Amino acid sequence: MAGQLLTNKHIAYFKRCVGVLPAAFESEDSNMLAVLYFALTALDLLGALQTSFKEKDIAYFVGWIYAHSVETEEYFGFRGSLIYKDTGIYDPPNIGATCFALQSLVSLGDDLGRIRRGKLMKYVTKCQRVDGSFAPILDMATGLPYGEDDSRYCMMATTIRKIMKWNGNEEIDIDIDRLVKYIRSVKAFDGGLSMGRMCESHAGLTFCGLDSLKLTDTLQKNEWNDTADFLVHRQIWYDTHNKLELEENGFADDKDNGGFNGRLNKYADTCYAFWTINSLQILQDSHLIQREAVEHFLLKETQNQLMGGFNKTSDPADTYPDPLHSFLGLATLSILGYDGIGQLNSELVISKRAYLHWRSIKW
Amino acid sequence: MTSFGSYNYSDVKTLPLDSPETKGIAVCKILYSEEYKKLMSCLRGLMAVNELSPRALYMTELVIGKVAAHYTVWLYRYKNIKKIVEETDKEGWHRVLEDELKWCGRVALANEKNYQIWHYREDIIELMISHLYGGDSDKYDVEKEEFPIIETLIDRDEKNYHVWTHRRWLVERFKMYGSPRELEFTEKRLAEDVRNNSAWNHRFFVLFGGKGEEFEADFDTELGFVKRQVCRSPTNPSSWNYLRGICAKKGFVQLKEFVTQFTEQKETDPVIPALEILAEIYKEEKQQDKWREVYEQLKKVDPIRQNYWESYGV
Repeated sequence: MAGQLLTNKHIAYFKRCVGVLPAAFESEDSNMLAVLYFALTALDLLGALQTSFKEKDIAYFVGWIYAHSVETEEYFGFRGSLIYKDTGIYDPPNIGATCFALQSLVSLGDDLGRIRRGKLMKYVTKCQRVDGSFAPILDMATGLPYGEDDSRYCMMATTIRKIMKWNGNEEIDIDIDRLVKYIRSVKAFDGGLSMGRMCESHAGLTFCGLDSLKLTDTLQKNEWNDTADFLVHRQIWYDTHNKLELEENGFADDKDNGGFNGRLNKYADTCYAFWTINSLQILQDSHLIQREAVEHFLLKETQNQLMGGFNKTSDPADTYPDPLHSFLGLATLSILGYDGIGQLNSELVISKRAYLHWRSIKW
Repeated sequence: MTSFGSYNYSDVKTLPLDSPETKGIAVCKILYSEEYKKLMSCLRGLMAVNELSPRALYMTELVIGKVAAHYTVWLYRYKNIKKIVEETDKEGWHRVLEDELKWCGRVALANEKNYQIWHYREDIIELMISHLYGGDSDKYDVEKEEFPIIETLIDRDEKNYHVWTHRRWLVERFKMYGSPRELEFTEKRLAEDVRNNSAWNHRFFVLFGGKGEEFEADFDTELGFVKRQVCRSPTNPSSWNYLRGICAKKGFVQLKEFVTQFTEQKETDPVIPALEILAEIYKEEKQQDKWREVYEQLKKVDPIRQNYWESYGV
């Protein structure tokens, strides 16, 4: 028997995330648009976005997000936190923050009328590196990409492009051929995608890579069969046939049964259920996993029975939920078609309701 | 007087954190501590005028010490270092850059899951090569500068993704393909935990990542090594995964004898990854009935992937 979804507790949890947060959240200061996106999308999936907030609150959210927008002569985007405001060249738009801002605005029903599309796409285009990958920011002094490169920023850049309804006929655009080449180059020998050429395969980075292709209409399913094999093997099951693992493997725990790990021989983690199942969903292969078992893992082992939200793992020491794992736990149940949760659009990772609103936006 | 450490910041035009645009709005509002507010308003003041100086460098250290995830602080710090290097004599460079590398190590130890620190460290290494060693990367002492910090972090978390990715960057940057020292490193880690998939992956990169230019791995020696590791813990997915990886191009038929000792065990259950390879072997041999049989068996011993095994036409 799978446990029950504690809908009211989840609603209360996500409402707390968009309110006043203790100083412990200082370390998340650059990620507050992400926190808002997780919470709003979760509430949307729970059907509670409209019922939880008055029109005035929704307008507050929209205003708060737009307060994070950065516009220069050439570029437009969103900063990760207002702490960067007024710091000149150290206040560039950030690809991650921009992506979360746009997804949140769509969920809030905004018409995106205040987004400067041309300037935004110019910025995104400039963030692409020669190898096809994307950087999180530009060094505004040199106009060159700066920061770590991995497929997370590819996914966010292509999500921005999709939300902007950029279709490839515009004067400025990212180089899609080079993007595809980059994503292919990070496939590890076992089919999983990774942080760079021949890095260790990783389910989170696998989703980011596949979604980048999906968002740019360049995903050819037959090219990723070994990736599907890698993904399917992420679901954990310790039983008689591999009982030696429970004895010898420090990362094995039968409480993880049904859950997913992100890499071989790691423990199960709420977020990897999402990264894996949504990857398979994009490949139209999500029927290959065992649905009841993952529902059981999420509802019984990581759903926080006291506070709502989801913990990261089944480890009893892991007692606090966080916005990312809470949202991704819920989003996983949505993909699995769990009763009482709205549908998710796997590609843009917003609710289907928000997706339909986005489709109606015209520039 | 406003001072932090031994620096005086009294003349900095501070920029307080509170933003007029969101006054009265309590969306995702963090209750900042007084210390954080003080540091950030000083840092913001310095950034706003792009002051590049030792005291600005020190301020970035304080802020990164509080919050390592602020993305432009890293860029600001890098610009400070570059400026200081440009303004010092050659002897000064050594000190500044070596101190910086040591500082990177301390930050990495305090922020094990941080993405930015490794990218930043790699930028500093590049700066050292270009400024101290006239572009000759052979003069950079990888063993002395890089290995101790990596060892410490991998001792703490043997599968730290960022640290292994950095080690991989070193192999690529300093052309350490096939390096006996690198292979020994993975062997030591696998001796401690044969299930350390990061160590397996690193080994794969060291042996086969060089695109054949610098080094050609000896396949048979490696096959012997991995077979011994499989025997140590037959149900360990990582060693089987590696075995599949190195044999992918040559085909699996050569593994038939080795694999069947794990699929036809009398006393214990058949080993799942061994069955999977056996199925591949039958496929290669075009023995359709036999590979169907293996998938039937997999359905029983690995029920969580029942739908997947069925998708193979069982």
